[in-house]
Amino acid sequence: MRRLRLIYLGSIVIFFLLAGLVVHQLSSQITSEVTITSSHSVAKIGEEVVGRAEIYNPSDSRKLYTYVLYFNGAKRVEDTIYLGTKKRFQLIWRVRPSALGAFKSTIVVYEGAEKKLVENASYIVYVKP
Amino acid sequence: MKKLAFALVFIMIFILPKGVGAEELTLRPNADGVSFGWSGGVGCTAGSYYECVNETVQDGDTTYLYTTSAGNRDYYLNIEDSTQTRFISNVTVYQYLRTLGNELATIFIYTGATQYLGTEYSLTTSYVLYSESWPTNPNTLNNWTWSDINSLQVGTRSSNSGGMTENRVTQIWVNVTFGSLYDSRDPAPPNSTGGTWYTNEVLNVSGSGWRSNQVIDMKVNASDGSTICTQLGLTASATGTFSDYDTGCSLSGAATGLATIYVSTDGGATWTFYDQFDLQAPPVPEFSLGMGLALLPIVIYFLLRRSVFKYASP
Repeated sequence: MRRLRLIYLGSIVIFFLLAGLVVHQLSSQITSEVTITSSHSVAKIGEEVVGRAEIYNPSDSRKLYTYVLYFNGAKRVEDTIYLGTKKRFQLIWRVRPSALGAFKSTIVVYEGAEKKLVENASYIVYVKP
Repeated sequence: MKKLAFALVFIMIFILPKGVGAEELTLRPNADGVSFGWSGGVGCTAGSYYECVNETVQDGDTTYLYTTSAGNRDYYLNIEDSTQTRFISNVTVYQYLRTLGNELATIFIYTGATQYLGTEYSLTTSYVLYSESWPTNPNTLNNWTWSDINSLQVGTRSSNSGGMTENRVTQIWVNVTFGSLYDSRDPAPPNSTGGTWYTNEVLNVSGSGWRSNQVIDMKVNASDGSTICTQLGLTASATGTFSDYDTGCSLSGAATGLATIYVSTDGGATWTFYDQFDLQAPPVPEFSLGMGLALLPIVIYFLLRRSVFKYASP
């Protein structure tokens, strides 16, 4: 009877250990977060517009990211960065639109050496006279 | 004596740190160049003509190069190499020249196996400092590279304006102006590791030596190699400076230790080291008068409670 009780308790301990391991694995694989914001939604020609994108690494391991920033479809910059665990990266850009219409900033973020797509986000600022 | 000591302390604290921001590199002749078409030198010999003009303070007619020949006469001298890596915004060649008659001379540079002449000057009989600037490489039509500087030669063309007598040059040097960008608290700019910032702050930068309204990109890496932020499109002032410029780069959550500033002048294709600063956790707030006043009601409450219990007890 006592032996059965021990087996029962041991099973419970093993169950909780396995459950903890699964939760840990899942939390370390949470998808990276990317946000994009802008100082203006409407701007005048020549006015400085400050855009900002943030990449957050919520995992328990250091990760490699590649980001590409486009202005109206034309590539402005491409770079690779490392982000430590629970670290945040900020990309800030200052532009002065010179033409009327929509000024679209797009950021595409990839994760790892195999370049897994994380985000493809855009922000449009309407440029008025 | 006391006044002198105060003056020295004042200079050390307020003047020297600001003056150290040397965004200009002086390079002097260190070898003879591809050819020597002048008559000779006084105080130096063939193979080491550069020694007549590489002094740090011009020595007049003690050592100099001269020509008494008619027509266009050129000499070339190589200048020192540099290990710099920063963006070059200008190259200026300086020469102390004089004539014994009424002659003309032109400063030139030699880059990409091609000679580029500056303005032709009418010399006077006493030494006068002349200069010529090239903001970009006239051979490549691009920005100067340090490789261009390391292979750069300079010289003087002496021209006959009728009745050649003698032209002399006593000192030559080249100033290379380059951009600097450093954290605004850097105690010894442009690139010391000093300057303390806290992880609850936003980074401000300063700098100079850039072109008017030049647009550059900046990247900040934390001590663990993580990139804290990349700032695209920082625009220098009309005088090519950044003065306590708010980058908008929040240092929150970044690893403490020595953080590094990189700059790109080619749209983010290449990043060059520019400065480092010390990133620390925010200091624990010190006990201040304000805090003391805020705690006073609590202290009074406990004192009163204690005295109430004291008198209430039998």
